[in-house]
Amino acid sequence: MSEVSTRIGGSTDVTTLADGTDAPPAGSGRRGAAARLVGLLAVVVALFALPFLVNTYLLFVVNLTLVYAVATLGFNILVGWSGQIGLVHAALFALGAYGSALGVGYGVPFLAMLPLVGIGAALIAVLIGFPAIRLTGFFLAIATLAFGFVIVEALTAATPLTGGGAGLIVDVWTLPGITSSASTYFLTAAVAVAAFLLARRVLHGRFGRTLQTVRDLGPLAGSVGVSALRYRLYAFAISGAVAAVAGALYAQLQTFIFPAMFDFNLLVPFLVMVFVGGAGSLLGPIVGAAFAVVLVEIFQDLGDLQAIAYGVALMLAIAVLPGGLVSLGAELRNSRLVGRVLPSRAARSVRRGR
Amino acid sequence: MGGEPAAVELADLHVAFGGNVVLDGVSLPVGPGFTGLIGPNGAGKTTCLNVISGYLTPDRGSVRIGGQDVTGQAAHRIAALGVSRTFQSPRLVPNLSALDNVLVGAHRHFRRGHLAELLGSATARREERRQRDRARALLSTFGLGGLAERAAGQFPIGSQKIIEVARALLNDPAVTLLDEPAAGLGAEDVDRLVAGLSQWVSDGAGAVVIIEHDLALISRLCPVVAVLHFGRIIRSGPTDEVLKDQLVVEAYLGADFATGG
Repeated sequence: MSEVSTRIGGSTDVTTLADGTDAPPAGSGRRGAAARLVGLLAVVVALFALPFLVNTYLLFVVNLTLVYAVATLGFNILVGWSGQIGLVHAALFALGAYGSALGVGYGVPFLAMLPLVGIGAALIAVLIGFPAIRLTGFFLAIATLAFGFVIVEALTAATPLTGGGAGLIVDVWTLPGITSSASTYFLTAAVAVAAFLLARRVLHGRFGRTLQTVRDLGPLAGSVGVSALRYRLYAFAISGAVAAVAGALYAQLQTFIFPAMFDFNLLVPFLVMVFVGGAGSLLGPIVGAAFAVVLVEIFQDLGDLQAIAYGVALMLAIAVLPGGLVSLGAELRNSRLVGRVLPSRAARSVRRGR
Repeated sequence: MGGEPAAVELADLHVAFGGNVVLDGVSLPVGPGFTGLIGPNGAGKTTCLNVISGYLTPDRGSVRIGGQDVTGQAAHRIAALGVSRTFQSPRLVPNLSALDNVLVGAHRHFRRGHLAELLGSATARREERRQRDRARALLSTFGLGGLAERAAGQFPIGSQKIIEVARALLNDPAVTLLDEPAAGLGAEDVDRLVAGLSQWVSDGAGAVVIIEHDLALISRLCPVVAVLHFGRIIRSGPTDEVLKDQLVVEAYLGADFATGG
């Protein structure tokens, strides 16, 4: 065990320093809120200025990162926050892609299809979740994986509707006066910003802490009045809805979709993005998505090595950084090497007697 | 009889796991204030709590909470009636702060749904703030107010057990079931626990059932105690009398406790 964490975790006198004093946590408050708002504004401005600054290739890469970040945000709610390894996410992502493309084909505006595929996928996720929430671990993974296979196979089989294995050309929603790729990008950026702001509100609030309680206490969550099954089902529904919305945006970005894009092989990057980014963390999906997309771009010409790189990344993430890349800072601060030089914040506050 | 129904009324509880009879006709009324539940290991004390809190359905017999029959109801429904419990080894969310862990205990008090929370409704925010203040105050009565923002997993086990007790109390329970709350606690933590619990009971009329092997603590807190032995209540009543009872001494305590006081 590292020196610093021994000092924190092992000593019983940590709590005796409290003595009932009710000091507010330092560093938060009005100034912190203002700084966060400025930071958020900077991110939003940078996101929306991007199409005017970079070339089409880079714009595509950022766009893809944002689509994956949204999809992973949904997957993370299921896997990271509620602790259920449900593997139907890629199939629901596919339903969003196909559903929106087909809906637009029948004359429904794309902006209306976006919430519609979300609601539809949530309903399907509830149907799948209803038996699945009673399973855990390996059994849950296998059962949901089977549902995913069925959905992707159905997309292939429904050739008259979906074009089958030959694929489907997607009508791209375009803002008047700008290119279709910039339109797709703006829409994706807007959805991503909205999704992360809404997710922050509930995941850092009552909903998030209740989901984590269900994850860590399991059926014992009942002792605090929480129905574990109900919250597991909520997680299925929300993650399904988010997957489908991201899938619709993915179809817009790719402009051509076929079932094999969404088979089992898509689950691997999704899992990598959740765990490499940080399971159960709000910003993990963004970091994970950026990591996965950049990895693919770097290893693009290496063929099979790409899969190996994914595997190694996943192994390293789970073995070395169980909290994902977002926990890198804290891990470094608490590590023995750095901890000697640079005392962790927790250790400092203990010494100050807070 | 008559008048107020008992906070908890156990009637003729039978529980067997396979051929192993764990509870063999347990009947016990529990009134407001502290009640100790003692007995040797394997006597069925935790099984008793599991039946009351809905984790086990008895083969026979019934559980009434405030006069209402709750036998066989799901754990979360029983908790929503105001029945809280803690576990022998603390079950917290390690990466959430102590405060957030305690807040989970307020689950049944939230009237607004998660949609209101998502949309940021003023009422939902007010509710959250109100419960947060209560949770903070509760942590302070247990002497942990200054560490409310620290991740629960960073606390020593003793403090984690105290956080769990605070979570149980934020439910405003009519009945609190504490499973060995003082096991593994240092003397100072025990004092903190006793102070907080005593204040809680003197503030309200809740019933608190404590399973504990530390008889000094039982004598200190509980005016009444029940002794469970091989699945039966062999004695119950005022603590000082029960602990001196010859049958209890033989069954459980050993001769040295009786002579030592």
